[in-house]
Amino acid sequence: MTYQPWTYRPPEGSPVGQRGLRRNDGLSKASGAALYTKDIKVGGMLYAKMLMSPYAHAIITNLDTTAAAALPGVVDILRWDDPDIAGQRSARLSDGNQKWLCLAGRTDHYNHQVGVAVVAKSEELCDRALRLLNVTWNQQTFYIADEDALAPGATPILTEVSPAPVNNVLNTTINTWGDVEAGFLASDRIIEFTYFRGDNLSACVEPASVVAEWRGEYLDMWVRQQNPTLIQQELALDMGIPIAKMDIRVTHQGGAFGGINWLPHYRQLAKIAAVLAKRVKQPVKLIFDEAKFQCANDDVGTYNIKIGVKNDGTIMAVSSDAIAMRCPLGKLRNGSKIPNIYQKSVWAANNRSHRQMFRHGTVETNGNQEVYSHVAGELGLDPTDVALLNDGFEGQDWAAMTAYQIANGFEQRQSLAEVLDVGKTAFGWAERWHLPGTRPLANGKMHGVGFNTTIKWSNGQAQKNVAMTVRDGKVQLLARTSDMGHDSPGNYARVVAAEMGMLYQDVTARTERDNGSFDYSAPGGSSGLVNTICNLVEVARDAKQQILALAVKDRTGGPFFPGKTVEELDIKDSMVFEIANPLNTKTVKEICNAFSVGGITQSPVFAHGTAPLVTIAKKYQCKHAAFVEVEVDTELGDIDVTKVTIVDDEGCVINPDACNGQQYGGVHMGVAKSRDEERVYDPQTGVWLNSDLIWYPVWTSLDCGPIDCHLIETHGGNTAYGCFGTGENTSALTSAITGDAFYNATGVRLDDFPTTPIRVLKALGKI
Amino acid sequence: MSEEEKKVPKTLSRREFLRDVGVAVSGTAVGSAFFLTASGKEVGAANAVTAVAPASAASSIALLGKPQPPPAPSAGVVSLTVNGKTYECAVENNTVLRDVLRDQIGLTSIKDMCTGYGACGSCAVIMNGRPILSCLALANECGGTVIETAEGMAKNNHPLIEAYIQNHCMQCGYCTPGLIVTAKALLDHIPHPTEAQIKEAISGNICRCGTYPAHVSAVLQVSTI
Repeated sequence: MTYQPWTYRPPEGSPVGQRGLRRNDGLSKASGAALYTKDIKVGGMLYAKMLMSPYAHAIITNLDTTAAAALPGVVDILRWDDPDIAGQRSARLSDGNQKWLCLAGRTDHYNHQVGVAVVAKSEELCDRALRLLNVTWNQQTFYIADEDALAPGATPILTEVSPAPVNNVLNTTINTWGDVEAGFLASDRIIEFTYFRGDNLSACVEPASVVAEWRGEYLDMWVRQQNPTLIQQELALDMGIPIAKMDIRVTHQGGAFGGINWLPHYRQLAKIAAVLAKRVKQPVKLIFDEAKFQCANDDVGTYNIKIGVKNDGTIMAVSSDAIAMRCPLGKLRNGSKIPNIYQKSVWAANNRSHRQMFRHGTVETNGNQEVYSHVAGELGLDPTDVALLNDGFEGQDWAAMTAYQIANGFEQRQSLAEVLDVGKTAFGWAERWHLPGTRPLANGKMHGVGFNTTIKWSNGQAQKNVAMTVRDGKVQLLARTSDMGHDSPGNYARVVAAEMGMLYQDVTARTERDNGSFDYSAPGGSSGLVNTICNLVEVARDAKQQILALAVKDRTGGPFFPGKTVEELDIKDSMVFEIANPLNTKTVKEICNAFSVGGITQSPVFAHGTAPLVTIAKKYQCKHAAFVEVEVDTELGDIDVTKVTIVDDEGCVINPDACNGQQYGGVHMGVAKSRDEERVYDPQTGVWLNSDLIWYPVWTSLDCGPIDCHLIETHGGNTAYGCFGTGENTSALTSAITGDAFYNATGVRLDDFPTTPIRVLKALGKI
Repeated sequence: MSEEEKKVPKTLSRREFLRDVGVAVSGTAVGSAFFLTASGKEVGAANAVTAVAPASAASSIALLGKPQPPPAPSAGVVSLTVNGKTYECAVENNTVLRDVLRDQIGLTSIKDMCTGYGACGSCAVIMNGRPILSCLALANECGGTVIETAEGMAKNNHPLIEAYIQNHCMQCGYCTPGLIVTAKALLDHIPHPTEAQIKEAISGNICRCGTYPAHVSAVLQVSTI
C-alpha cells in the first residue's frame, strides 16, 4: 500500500494545533540563560580572529607577523600558506562544484576574512595583534556591478575559486518548459519590462563564532549552524576527522534565517577553528564579528521579463533573461497553469560579497510579483483575479491537481481560492483596491494596495533517524537540531505527544547535543519539522506500541492489565487505559519504571528509525498571499506601509502561536527588504558603506503598521498531516510588494528594489 | 585600475580613542527616546533623542539621574551591585560595562549584537533605575551603581518573565533579554503605558525576527496587574 502520511490527522484534543502551550525555550530566552555560541566559555579557552580586508579585491604580497607575535598574550598566528590550512577548501551550497579556500592570501570583497588568524588570550588582544600586522596589499581590479564583470575584456576575478569562473561567469542556469515562442504567438498582448533588485543583507543579530576543543583525538565543537551535518561531513571528508570522534553541539542561534548558517564562511570558520585548537592544544573560540553583514540575498540582479497574455488575463508564456545568481520563475512554474516558461540566469562573479540563501525563495517570489502585477496593470485587472485565473501547477490547470488529489488521498481543496477568500475579506480588498493612480488622500498622499501570491514551501521528506526513549515517565527525544526560533523542541514534543497519547509536558528534547548524530532536521529551519515529521510520527507510534506491550507483559506480581491485549488499551494524558473501561488506568511512568533495569534510568522503551519513503511526485498544493496598503508621499518619496494582511495555508498547523510569530516576523522583514533595506557600496573603492546596525536599516517597532496574520489548513503537503514549513515563505513573499502597491497608488511603475525615496522620486520624474 | 602596492593605514580603534581621551559616553540609543538622554531627565515618548558626549567624567556620572560619588581616578577595581550581589571587578580605563557583566560576572543575558556601536539595545541593563546601553558605559565610571539584568528579573520572578513566555515574545531569543529589561524599565517609570508608549520605548531594541507586537502584549498584560 502506498505510504500516504498526509492522510494522517493528529488526534482530537492533542497538542498539535493547540494555542497557549508553553514554549520550551521561553524561560531560558527571557532570562538570558539560553546559550549562543558567542556565550560559550570553555576552561582554558583562547580567542581567535582573522584579518579583514580593507579592499574589495587585493592580494597579500607581504605579511610580517613579527610585531603581532611578540605582543604578550598572543599564542599563535596561522598564515594562509601554513601547511596546516593551506589548500583547505569548503564547498558552498548549491554553487555547483565550486570550492573556496578557507584562508586565502587574497580577498574577494571588502571585509573578507583572509590571510591570517590570530590566537590570543582575549578578543581585545586579537584586535591589537591584527593591527600590528604589517600587510602589504596589491590591489586588483574589482567589479561591483555584474554588468562590468561580464563586459568583453573584463579582468578575470575570483580566480582562486576552484574551479575558477570562465569569463567571470560562476554559473549559468537555463530551464525550459513548453515553447515560449509558440506561447507568445498565441497571445493577444506582449508585455516586456526589466526589474532590478539591489543587495540586501541578512544582518543576523548574533556575531558568528565557533568553539573547537580537542580532547585527545576527540573533537568537540559548538557551532551556529542550521545544518551541523555539513560541518561534520566536511571535517570528516576533508580533514580526516572520524565522525564518531566529533561531538558537534548546536547552540541557540541569533537571527539565523538560513543564509548565514549556510554561509561557506561558517564551514571555513569551523575548519580553521579545528586547526587552531589542535595547534595551540587549548580550546579556541574563533570570532567573526562581521559575518552578519556578509551574507547577502540571492535575488540581486537584473531581470528582463517578457510575458504573452490573452486579453482576459490568461498568461500564455513568460520568459526571463537575467544577470543574477538564480532564475525567477520556478515558483510560477510550480504553482500556475502557465504552459510555456523559459528562464536563463547568468551568475556573474563579483567583488560584493558572498551570498547564500538568505531568506531563500525571494528571487522566485519577486518573479511572481512582477508577472502578476504587470499583467494586471496592462489589462486593468485586479491582480488577485489574474492570480486565480492562472492558478494551477506545472503548466496544468487546477482540474489536473484535483485529479492528483483524488488519486493520492488528498483533500480536494483549491488552496489559492481559500487563501484569497480569507485574505481579501480580512484585508478589506474590495473596499481598498482600485485602478492605479485613482485614489488621492486628504493628507495629500496617494493610496495604494499591493498583492502577491506564490506556492508554499517546503514539504520535503528527509530520511533521518529519529530516536526516543521513556525514562521515569518522560519521553526523551534523542536529537540534535538547530534552533531557528520556532521552538523546535516544543514542536517535536507536540507531534510525539499527540501520537503517543502523552502530555505535552512529558515529552522532552534537549536538542543541542550530538547524541550519536541523530539529526532531527536537515536543515533545522523553516523546513526542519516538516522534513522530520513523518519520522517522528512513525517512531512515536512504535514507542507507544512498546509501552502498551509492557502494560500487558508478565512480571513479578502479574501484568499491569491482566488478561488484556495491546489492542484493548490506549494512552491518553500519559496514562495507559483500558478502552472498554477508561477508569482502569496506570501511568506510563509506573509501567516503564517497573521494567527499567537497575532503577529508573534505563529505559525499557527504545524506538528509532525512519518513515517509509513517500513515492509520489511532490506537488505544491498549498499557497499563501500577502496584501499591503500604503500611502505614497509623491513629494518626499516616502511609502508608508499602513496595513499588511498575510494568509498562509500551512497544510496543518502544528504550533499556531509560532506560525503567527513567523508570519509577522517574516512579513516585517520582507516588507523592509521591499522598501528600505539595501547595501550601499562606494563605487570607487568597493567598500561597503553601511555594514553596521546604525546605517543598515533594520526595521524597529515603529516602522510598520499592523500586520494581520491568518492560517488555514488544506493538508496538501507531502508529509505527515499534510503540513508545510513557514517563516521563510512570508519574508520572501513580501520582498517586492511595495512595488506593486506603489504602482496601484500612482499608476507609475517602479521596478527597482528596494523602493527607497530616491527611486520613488526618480520613477515619478521628480529628480 | 593600475596595480599599486599599498600599506594598510593604521587607524585608531574606538577603544583606543576612549582610553586616550578618557571620555565617558552616556547611554544613548539610535531610534529610541527611552534610553537615557544626556540631560538625565525623565524620558517620555514625545522627547527627541539626542546623543551628547559629556564634557567630563564627573558630569557623565551626574547624568545617571541620581547623585553619585566621584568616579575612581584611574583603572583599578570597581564595585558593582548586580542583581542584588556586590562584585569587585578589575577593569582597565577602556573596559566597557558590557564586557565586565558578560566576561567577569558571567551574565549571558547581556548580548553583543551591534559589536559595541550602541545601535541595537541587546546590551541594555538597568542602572540605578535607568535603562542604559552597557556597551557605551565605561566600567570604571559605574562604580557603586546598582544594576539589574534579565537574570535578576527571573530570579525575583518578575511578572514580565512569565508574560514574555505566555506571549511568545521570543523567536531566536537573542534580543529578548535586552527587550525585557527595557520593558521593565518602562514599567518602573510608567506603570500603565499606552501601546504607543511601549512601541516607542522598545524602538531602540532591534529584533530581526520581528517579535515587536508580542512585547507590546506582554507589557500591557503586566501593566494591568
